[in-house]
Order: sequence, then structure tokens, then C-alpha cells
Amino acid sequence: MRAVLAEDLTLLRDGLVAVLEAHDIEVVAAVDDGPSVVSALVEHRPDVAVLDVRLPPTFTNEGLRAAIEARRRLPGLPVLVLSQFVEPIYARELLSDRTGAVGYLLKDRVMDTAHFIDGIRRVAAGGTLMDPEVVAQLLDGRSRDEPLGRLTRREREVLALMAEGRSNSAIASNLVVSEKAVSKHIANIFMKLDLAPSDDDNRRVMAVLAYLNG
Amino acid sequence: MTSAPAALFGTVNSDLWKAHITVLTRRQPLGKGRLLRNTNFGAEWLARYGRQRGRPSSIDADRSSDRLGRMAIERHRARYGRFGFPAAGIGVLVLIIWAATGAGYFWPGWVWFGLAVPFAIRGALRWSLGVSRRRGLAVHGALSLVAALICVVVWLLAGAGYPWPLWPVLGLAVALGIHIALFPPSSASTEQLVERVGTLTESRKTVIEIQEAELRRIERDLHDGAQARLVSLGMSLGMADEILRDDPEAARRLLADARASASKALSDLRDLVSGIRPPVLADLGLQGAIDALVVTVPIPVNVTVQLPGSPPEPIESAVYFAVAEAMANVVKHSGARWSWISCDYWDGVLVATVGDDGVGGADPAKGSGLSGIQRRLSAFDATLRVDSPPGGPTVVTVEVPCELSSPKT
Repeated sequence: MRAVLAEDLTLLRDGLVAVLEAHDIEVVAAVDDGPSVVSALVEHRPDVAVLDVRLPPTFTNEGLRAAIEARRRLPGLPVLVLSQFVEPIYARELLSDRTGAVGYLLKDRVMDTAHFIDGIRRVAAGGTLMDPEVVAQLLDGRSRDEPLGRLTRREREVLALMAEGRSNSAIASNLVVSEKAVSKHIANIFMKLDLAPSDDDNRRVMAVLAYLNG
Repeated sequence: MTSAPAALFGTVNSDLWKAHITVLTRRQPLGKGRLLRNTNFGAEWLARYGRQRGRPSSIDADRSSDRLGRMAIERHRARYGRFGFPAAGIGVLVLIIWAATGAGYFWPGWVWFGLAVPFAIRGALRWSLGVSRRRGLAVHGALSLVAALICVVVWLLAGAGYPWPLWPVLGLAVALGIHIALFPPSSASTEQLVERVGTLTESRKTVIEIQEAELRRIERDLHDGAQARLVSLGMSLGMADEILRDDPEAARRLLADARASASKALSDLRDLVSGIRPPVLADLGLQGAIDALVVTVPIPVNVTVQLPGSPPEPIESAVYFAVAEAMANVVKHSGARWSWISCDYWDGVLVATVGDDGVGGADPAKGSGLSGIQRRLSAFDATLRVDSPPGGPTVVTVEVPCELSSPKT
């Protein structure tokens, strides 16, 4: 697998390169500012892009802007955005083109190397990966919510895990239920959120979007 | 003019002249204090009016000049009180001498004139220094009037011949005219300025207190949070290093602990930073940050932000925290089904309002949240108003006078 990495802090960039290479992910370009990101992505067309949100020259959300721009030029390009902070509004922006293959994680998650690498592979394969913190912020105080209010407690748990990009079997083991039960919950979620039957992956993204849009 | 009145004038009134000189030179900021304290009348002037003029940065200096001033007033009263009776005595005495020497040319008029001049000047200064607005002009006008009167009286005493006083009076009038032309009236009265200085002194104190409290909180948070976690992380790593060979399984558990500590340290730091200046505000500005805030609010929020530019960063933060706190209260306490946030800029004032259709009855004095926001806002001359009758609706309004910079590109 080939990856492009954007991170301005040398220490973290070198660390990330080491982690990725140790897991057979070849880093074809490691850039350190916003303007170089898009050109590197267009030039190398990697299997996955791992981008820090805050990059020079503005040190605001340069990485996010680059991710959106790159996906505009290369639709469906898998992008994993890392940040010291997660903002649900950024998650929504990333998901708004509705093509999936997007991840948005706290930088802390890099410490759990196995989980992190697994996440990269899932994003590269077209999955959606939202940090549990995004989900937690959205769940905070959401009790009388519509249309999410129509979901049962268990269905909301399933939706939260879906937002984190878990597969049905992972959700089943996490909630200690059968995979069959999970499928049933997911079908109910799709129905309650008025998501027309279509390609399953896309519906998962739509469900997460509905979740993020409140 | 004969020499007798001039001599009297010169000796008795040297203090008054010094005072006059001081008054005229008081625009010089450095020389002011020293000059004033070296002259008795100046000290009295400072004691009386210096405080009114308001110098918030030297409250202690004001106090010491108060003491100096009181001492000067005592001396001043003693001197001029003593002078009043002798002056009257001399007036009567010269009249007797004049009558006794044959009541010829009425020269005592000149003596009386000489005795009256210091009182006239003193009266003019007293009146003009007591004026609250345009004191400099009042002093100038009063002294010009005294000078004009002196000329007229001298002319009368000298036999009212050719009306020469016209010329000096004309000159004085022109000088006064130039003064008025050069220093047009300012818009703020001294009272308003005094009040403003009082407000600023108070708000500056508040700002310093808030800043101190914030720094203490940050220090404590770092000490109890991230620092402690990093210590624990280091200890876990050290222990893991020691037992790695003998008990790899236990070492692995310690490494997992270390990782958890690092995670928690990061999470603590994140919370700390978002309390100082939320990163989303730095990224997106006020409008974007409010949009981001609304995403996490579980009820529908109608947001209208119409700002022609960005407020200064500290004001942006204060307004953001105010809106966030008000919104948190809406979610926690109001039971509202929907709410709205608006942000406009009118006439040099940024107005942010948060409203809801909830139960009302919010009292900013009860919770510490809004009163903390209020303190924070007071640093910027901002006002926070909570309008929340029982039964609702609640509207929280923040008004901050500020300039907006041109929109970020």
C-alpha cells in the first residue's frame, strides 16, 4: 500500500513514517505544508492520504482544506485526517461529498498502533472512520432529538460504532450480541432514518451523515 | 503708575504669581508635579482639583498630594487671613494721613488700588479654577478681565484723559480670541471623564484579577493533569524497562498503562487549550465557530451572523464563550424546543443574542457561568443582559463596542 503523509512537526512526521513503514505501508511522499499536499496527492495518487489538520502557512485547518480539494480533483481518494482536536463540523465537511473512504481521528489514536494501522486500511478500502470523540460530542445531551430520537438506545449505540467505522462483526463483539442482531439493528436504523435501500457502504455513510447533521 | 502700589504688589503677591505661572505651565506633564508642589497655591490647586481631573495610575501620589495640599491651605489661609485686616487698616490710615495733610490731590486712591489688585487676582483665580469645563480658558478670561479693569482704574485715577486703555483691552481680547480658536471646546465634560476614569480603573482591576485567576487555574490544571500523568507514564516505562526480561507479560501491562497515561495527558491538555481559546475559533473565526458549536446542540438553532469583518481576537473569544455559555444554559435548563443565535454589528457595537422558547426564569446572579462571562466581558466595556421572565422566552444579549478588521481571506 502507498501513502502520502502531511505533518509539519518533524518529530511526529518521522514517527508516523516509521510506524507506517513498519506495517508495510510505503510512504511515497511526506510533506510539511498545505500547498504541497494537493500537488503531492495529485502527482502520486496514493492508496491513502494521512493528513494533519493544522499545517503551515496558516496553521488553522490547512490539512482539511487540502483533503477536500484533493477529493474534489480525485473523487473517492481515501483520506485520513489527524488532529489534536476533533470538531464535528469538520467531520461533516469531510463526509459531505458522500463517497466514503474518509477518516477523522484524534492524533492520540496513533499511539494504539495496531488500531491506527487497521483504521488506515479500512479507510483505504473505502470505509468511514470517525473518532469516538466526535461521536461522544454529538451524543452529548442528545435525548429529544429528531430523527435520531426515533432510534432505540441500542440502535444509537450501533450507529455510534458504525460512525467509528466498525464492521458488523466488530460491532457485534463490542456490544456482545450476535452479528445477526447487529444486521437487524442496522436495517432498522436505515429504515428510521429514511435511507432508501442501496449499496450498503453508501448507506452506512449516509447514516453517519444523518447522525452528524443532527 | 507710582512705585508704592507696585512694590506692595510685588512683595505680597509673589505666591499668587507663582500660582499663576504654575497654572499656565501645567500642560507640561513632567514639570507639573514638581512645580505644583513647590508653590503653596499650586498645592492647594492640586489638592482641590487634581483629583477631579483623575489620574488613576497614581492613586498614592494623589493621596500624598492631598496631605501636602491640606498643609498648603493652612499656610495660605494664615497668610491671607492676616493680610486682610492690615490691608483695611492701611486703607483707613492713608485716608487719615491725606485728611491730616490738607486733603489735597486724592493720592490714597492709588494705595487702595494697590491693595485691591491682589484680592481681585485671587478672586479671579478662585472663580476660574472652580470651573469644571474649559478651566484653562476660564483662567485666561478672568485674568484678562482683571488686567483690563486695572488699566481702566489706572486711567480713571490718572484723570480719565486720552482713552489709552482701549489698546491693551483690545490686545487682551485678541489673545482670548486666539485661545478660543486654538483650543475649541472638547465634547466630553470633566464629569464624564472622571466617571470614565472610575469605570476604567474598576475594569482594569477586574481584568487583572481575571487574568490572575486564569493563570492560577492553568497552572493548577497542568500540575494536577498533564504533569501528573506524564510522571505516571515515566514511572510505568521505568518499571517496564526493569522487568522486561523477567516478566514480559507484566511489562506489557505497564506499557499499556503508560500509553493510557499519555492519552489522558493529551486529553487534559486538549481541555485546557479549548478553555483558553478554542482551536475552532482560531481556525474559522466567530461565525464558523458558532456554526461548529451549533452542530453539537441537540435542538434546532437558527444562526444568523452578519459581521462585515472580524472583531479583535480577545473580543472574539469573549463573545464566543458568552454565546457558548448561553447556549449550554439553553440546553441544560430551558427545556426549549428551538433557539436562535444572532450576531450583528451596528454603529461600532457588536451585538450577539441568544434566545430560546423555553421556560425562562434564568437569573445570571444564581449560576457562576453567566456571571463569569459578565466579568470577562466587562474588560471590553461590554454589557450582558439577560431578559428571562418566568414562562419565557429567554434572550441573552451581549453588546461589545469594538472595531472590526477587514474580513479574513
